[in-house]
Amino acid sequence: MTSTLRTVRVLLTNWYWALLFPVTILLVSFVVNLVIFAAIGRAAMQNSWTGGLASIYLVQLAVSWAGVRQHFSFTVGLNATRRAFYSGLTLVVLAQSVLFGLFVYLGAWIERATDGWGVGMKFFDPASFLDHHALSAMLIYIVPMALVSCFGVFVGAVGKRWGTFGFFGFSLASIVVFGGIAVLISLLHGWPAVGSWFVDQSALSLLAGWALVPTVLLGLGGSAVLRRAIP
Amino acid sequence: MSTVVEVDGVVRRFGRMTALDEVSFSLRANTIYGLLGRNGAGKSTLMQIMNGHLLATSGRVAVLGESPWERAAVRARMCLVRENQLYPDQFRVHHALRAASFLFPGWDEAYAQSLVDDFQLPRSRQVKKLSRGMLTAVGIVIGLASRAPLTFFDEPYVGLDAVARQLFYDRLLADYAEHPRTIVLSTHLIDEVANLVEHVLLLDRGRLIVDDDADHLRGAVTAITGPAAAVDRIAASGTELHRATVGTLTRATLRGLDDAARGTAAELGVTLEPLSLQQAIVSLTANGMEGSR
Repeated sequence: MTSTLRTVRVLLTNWYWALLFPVTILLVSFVVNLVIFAAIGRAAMQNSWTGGLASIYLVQLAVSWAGVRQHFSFTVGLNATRRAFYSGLTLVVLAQSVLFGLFVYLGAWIERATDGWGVGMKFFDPASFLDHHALSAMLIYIVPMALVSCFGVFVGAVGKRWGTFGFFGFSLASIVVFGGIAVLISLLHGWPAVGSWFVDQSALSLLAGWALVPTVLLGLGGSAVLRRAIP
Repeated sequence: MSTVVEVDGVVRRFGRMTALDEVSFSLRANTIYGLLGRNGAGKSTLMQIMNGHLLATSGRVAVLGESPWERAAVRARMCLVRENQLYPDQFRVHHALRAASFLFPGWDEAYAQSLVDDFQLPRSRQVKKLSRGMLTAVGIVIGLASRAPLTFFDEPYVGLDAVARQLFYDRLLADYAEHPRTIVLSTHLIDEVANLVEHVLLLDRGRLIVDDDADHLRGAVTAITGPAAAVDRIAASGTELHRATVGTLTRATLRGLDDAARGTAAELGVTLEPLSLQQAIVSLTANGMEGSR
């Protein structure tokens, strides 16, 4: 455990990048959207969702990927174990997910209380997630953040282990697997069933429930990939 | 003295290329080793394997009695500073040192700061914007201040000028005197470290061809100069590494010259001249000689 905490401290040495940078990007995106809404006027934009919330998820994806790409060689190069590095990194990205998820949740509350920041803008709460129980609403924000984090870490691990060819191989494998599934569904005329399954799911079960499956798989996969990577 | 590292029959292949071929040796506690050899001889690969960065294809490595692969207790007692050590993009010099301080239990912060002053490193400059020499110096500061019982420096001179290299050798020796530990320096600037290293490991095309005390090695190779017939007589008592004839004079380099031959040399008017460590190693690697143990 102590060696894990040591790598956590290494990862947070420059804590601005780990903890504030994604929030900064989100706030910039928010201000830009707010100015646009104020300029265009409430009537024209009533209840539209800006899509700006995606920025923090994309930044978190990049931050997680960079976490492996930049810190693995440094930390394991200075003789931390791969296991300690990976568990430390997992702790950091999970903490980031909770922190950023709660930040967005807080933004959603203010958005509701101010009736869309006074201009009818839906930035933090695109689909009335706040109608859920408080804990459920938080999970709806946090779990997808953990999913993109684990995806970023996994892609970073593939790059560390196999280099550029790793990315090619991973992309090819993804196309074959997901393309194959799509072909199979088409052959079985299963698309209506797939569509209605998604429609039947609530936001909570989809974003906070089912999203955990790929999150855990990517987390375990990243650990396996990095186990023999060379710093 | 106690053994801290044991390398036994280590082979490492990269595809068809054999980088290390049946390498065996051991490292004693509190000794400065020079890991010498030409470019591509396998020095970096060997250091990576000893530090658990790479796995050997076959053979066994034990550090403090354990495999260095993924053992936190062992790895925290080792520090490898690589010539191409990578740092996170957003790290400034002070971040790199603080992060390193978290990883090494024996880290000496005051010493690290004094080294930063000695090497005139800009504390708040981004590491990726440092010159090549300054980047090397950051690695040197981390390696020395880690005070790891086993410290490895892989070519710790890239981009450093002669003054900075001398500074490194001086600081290393002074700190080693106060805090003895096992230090392995890989280098091909042999003359510069000749007075620093106590023991030499020489790799040639993946094979360990010398594992010997530096003092012993210094006297081990001798150049003899004289008339061809006299040189022939003396050369018979050692192993001839190289020979050149200019006019009536013949010069040969020999390994393993005994006292009797030295006496005969004086009678025959043949001059004997011990080679420097660098000259000895050049003549040994040029011939790809077998074992010295």
